[in-house]
Amino acid sequence: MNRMTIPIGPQHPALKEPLSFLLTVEGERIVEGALRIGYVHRGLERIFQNRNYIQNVHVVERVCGICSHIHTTAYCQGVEALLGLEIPPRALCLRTLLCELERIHSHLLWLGVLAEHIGFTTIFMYAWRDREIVLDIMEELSGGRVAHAVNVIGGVRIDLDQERVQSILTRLDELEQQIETFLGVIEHERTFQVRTRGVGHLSAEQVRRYCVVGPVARASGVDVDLRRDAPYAAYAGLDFRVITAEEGDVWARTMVRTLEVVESLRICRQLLRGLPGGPLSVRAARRVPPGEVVSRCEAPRGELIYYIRSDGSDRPARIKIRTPTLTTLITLPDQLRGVNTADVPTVLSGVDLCIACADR
Amino acid sequence: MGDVLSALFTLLVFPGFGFLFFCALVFQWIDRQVAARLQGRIGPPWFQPLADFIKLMAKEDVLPAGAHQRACAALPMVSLAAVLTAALVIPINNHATSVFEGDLIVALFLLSLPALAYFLAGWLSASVFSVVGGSRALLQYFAYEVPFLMALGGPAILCGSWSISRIAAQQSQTVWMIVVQPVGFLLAFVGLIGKLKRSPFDIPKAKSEIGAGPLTEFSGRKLALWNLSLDMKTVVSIFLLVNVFLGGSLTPFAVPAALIFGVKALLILLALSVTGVLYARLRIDQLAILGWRGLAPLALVQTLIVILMGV
Amino acid sequence: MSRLVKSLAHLLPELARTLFGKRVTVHFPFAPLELPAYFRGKVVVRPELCVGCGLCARDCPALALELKRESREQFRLIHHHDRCAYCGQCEDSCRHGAITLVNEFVPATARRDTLTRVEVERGTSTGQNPDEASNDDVPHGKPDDQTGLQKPKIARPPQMHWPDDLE
Repeated sequence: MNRMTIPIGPQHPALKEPLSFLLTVEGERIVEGALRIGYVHRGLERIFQNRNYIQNVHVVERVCGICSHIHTTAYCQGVEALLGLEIPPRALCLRTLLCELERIHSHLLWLGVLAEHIGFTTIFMYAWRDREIVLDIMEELSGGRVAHAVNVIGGVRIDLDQERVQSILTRLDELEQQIETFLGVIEHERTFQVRTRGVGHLSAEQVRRYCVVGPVARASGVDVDLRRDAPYAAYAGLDFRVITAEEGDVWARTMVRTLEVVESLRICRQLLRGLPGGPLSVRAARRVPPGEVVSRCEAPRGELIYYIRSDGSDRPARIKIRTPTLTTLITLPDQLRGVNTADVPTVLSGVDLCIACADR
Repeated sequence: MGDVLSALFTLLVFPGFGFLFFCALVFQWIDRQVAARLQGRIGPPWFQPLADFIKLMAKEDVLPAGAHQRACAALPMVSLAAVLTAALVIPINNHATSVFEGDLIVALFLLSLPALAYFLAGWLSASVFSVVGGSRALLQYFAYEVPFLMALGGPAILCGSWSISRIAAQQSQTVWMIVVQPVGFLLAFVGLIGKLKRSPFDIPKAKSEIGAGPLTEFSGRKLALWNLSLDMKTVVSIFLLVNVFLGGSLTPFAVPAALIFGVKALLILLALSVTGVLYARLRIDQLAILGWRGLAPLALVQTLIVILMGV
Repeated sequence: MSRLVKSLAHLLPELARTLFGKRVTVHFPFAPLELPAYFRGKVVVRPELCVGCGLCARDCPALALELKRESREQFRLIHHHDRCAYCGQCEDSCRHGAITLVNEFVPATARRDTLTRVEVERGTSTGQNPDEASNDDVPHGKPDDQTGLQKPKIARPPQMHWPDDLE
C-alpha cells in the first residue's frame, strides 16, 4: 500500500484558524502526523510589556475571541493579588456570571462547529441560533457580544437591576429547553452516534501523561476542574456538579460539554438569585509593587494559567500565558493514528481547538 | 420541414433543454428554500439559481497544469448530454418523445453516466482532494446503484413491460406501484439520495473534509455545466420515479394531468429535502456497509416477491 | 422497532417547530438594527468638559487618542478612529465625564483621512470650536484617488516607546 501525504491546513475547510498538519496516509488510514503551529502568533506577550496595567486589561481580552472574558479574569485576579486588593462580593458574582455565560456560548459554538464538520448542518444552525440568546444577554450587560470589557483591576464596570435579572432568568429557561433537544440528539440520534462514537480515543493514562486539561480530560475519566479544586471568584459558595465520562471519544466529549452547559445554567441561576449588594469595584493603584503571581482559571477549554511579574512600575515586567489548547494540541498525532481520513475533521473539532489562544 | 421544426422544438424547448433548464432551477430553489425554512433561515430569493448559473458562466475558467485539459473540458458536456438524452424517453405528462421496449434500461444506463463522468473528473483533475473525492464517488456508486436498479426492475416485471411509458399506463388499470411495492419505492428513494449525492450521502463532496471533492478544480463554464447537469439529473430522476412508482399523470380526481404530475414530483422533492436536513453525513465505509448489507438483500427479497407474485 | 424509528426520526418534532416558528435571520442592513442601550459604539467627546489631562490618551490600549499639548491653555485632543477598538477605557478613565460611547455604529468610509478627527481644540488662534478646527497640520495623507500611491502618514502617538534594544 503506498503512502500519501495529505496536508491539513494552513487553509482547510475543517479548520477555523490556521494550523498545519501533515498526515501520512495509507489507503484511508492515517499512519502518522506532524503538527506545526504559530500562524496566528501576534507577539502579544511582548506587547504586554509595552503597555501599562490598565491598557493590558483590554489587550489581554484580545488574546482569544471566544474565551475573552476568562483571560481578563485571570489577568485581573493576578494583578489584584499583587496589589493586595479585596474585591467586593458583588463584583465577584458578576465576574463569575459572565464566566459562566461565556462557557455556555463557547460550548454551543463548538457544538455547531462539530455538527457542521460531520455534515449535520441542521444542528449547526440550531446551536448557533440558541447561542444568540446568550450573546444578546451579554451584549445587553456589557456592550459587546464577544469583547465584553467587563473586568477592571479592582472589580467590574457593569451592573444589573432587578428587572434585568428577571429578563435574563426567563431567557435562560428558554435556552434550557433548547438544550434538551441537543441532549436528545446526542444520546439517541443514530447518524450522530455512528459518526462520533469510537473516534479520536484518548485513554486516561494518555491524558495524565500529556497533562491534558478541560472537557477533553474529563471525557476520559480524569476528574479535574479548577472551579471545584481551586475555587476563584465566587465559585467557593456555589453548588454544581463536575461532569465526567468514561469513553474518551468525541461522543463522550460532546456529552460532557453539553451537560456542562446545563450545569452552567444552574450556576447562573444561583448567581442571579443570590446577587449580593455593595460596590462594584475598589480603587486600584497604577503602580504595582514588585512581585510575581500565578493566577489560574477554568476557561471553557480547560485550565488557563497566567504568570505575572511586576517590577514596581506601571507596566508589567513579564506576563506568560499557558492556554489549555496547547495541551490538547500535543495529543492530536496520537489521537489521529489509525483513524480514517474521513474522521479527521471530527477529531479536530472534538478537541475544540482555539489556535489564537495557543499561538498568542 | 414541419417535422424538423417540431423535432427542434421538442429537443430545445419542450420537453427538451428549455423546459428541463427551467425545472432544474425551480427544483433547486424549492430544495434550498425548504432546507432553509426547516433550519430557521429565510433562504435564497427566487432568482438565486439563475443568478448563480449566469455568474459562473461569466467567470474565469482555470484548471491546474497537471490536469488532462481536453478530457476535463469534455466531461461536463458528456454528463449534460447523457441526462438530456435520458429525458427523451421519460414521459412527462403521459407523453414521451421516444417510446420503445427497453427504454427503461436505456434511461437507467444514461442516468448512470454522469456518476462515471464525475469520478473521471476527480481522477483527471490532479489534486489530492479531487482524487480522494473521485474514489469515494466510485465506491458510493456501487453501493447504491445495485439496489436502485433492482428496485426499479420490480415494477417492470409486474407490469410486464420494460418501457417506462407502458409501465406508467399500466398503472391506470391496476394500481399505483407504490401501493404494491412500498419496499421497492423506499429502496429507490434511498438509492436516489445516493445517486444525486445529497445529504446524508453527499460523501464525495463533503465540504469539511475534501473541499468540493471531484469538482474542486473546476471553475467558470465547466462548473456551471456540471452544476446544471447535476440539477437536471435531479429533475429527470424524480420524473422517472413518478412514472414508475406513482403512476405518471394518473389521478382518481378530476384535476389537470400536468398539475398532478408536478405535484407528485414536488412531493418527492420535498421528501428528499427533509431527509437531507434530518441526518448527519455518513462515512464512505458506513455507506458501503449500509448498501451491501442492508439495501441489496432487501432489494433481492423484493425482487423475489415480485417474481412470485407475477407467476 | 420503536427505538429504531425514534433514533432515525428524532429531529422531526424540532424541524416542525422551526418550520412554523419565526425565522431567525437578522435583516440588517436591509432593516435597521436595534442596539441595546449600553452598546459600545461611536466615541463622543464633549469639548466643554475636557481639560486636557491626558488620562484617556494614557490609558487607551490601542493608542487611538493623542493629546498634543503646547501649554496649559493650548492643547488638542485627536482621536484616530482607525486604531480605536471601542473598548470604553477612555470613558472610564476620564474624571470629568467628557467622553461617552453611544450606541451608534461608526460608518465605514473610503477615505483614510476622515478617520482622524480633532475632538477638542483649545486656546489656538482658530478659536474654540472644534468643528472649525483646522485639520491641516494633523499629518494625514491625501486620498488615494488624487495622488495615486501616496501612503498616508499617521502620527505616532507620543507614549509609544520603541526601545533601542530589547534588554
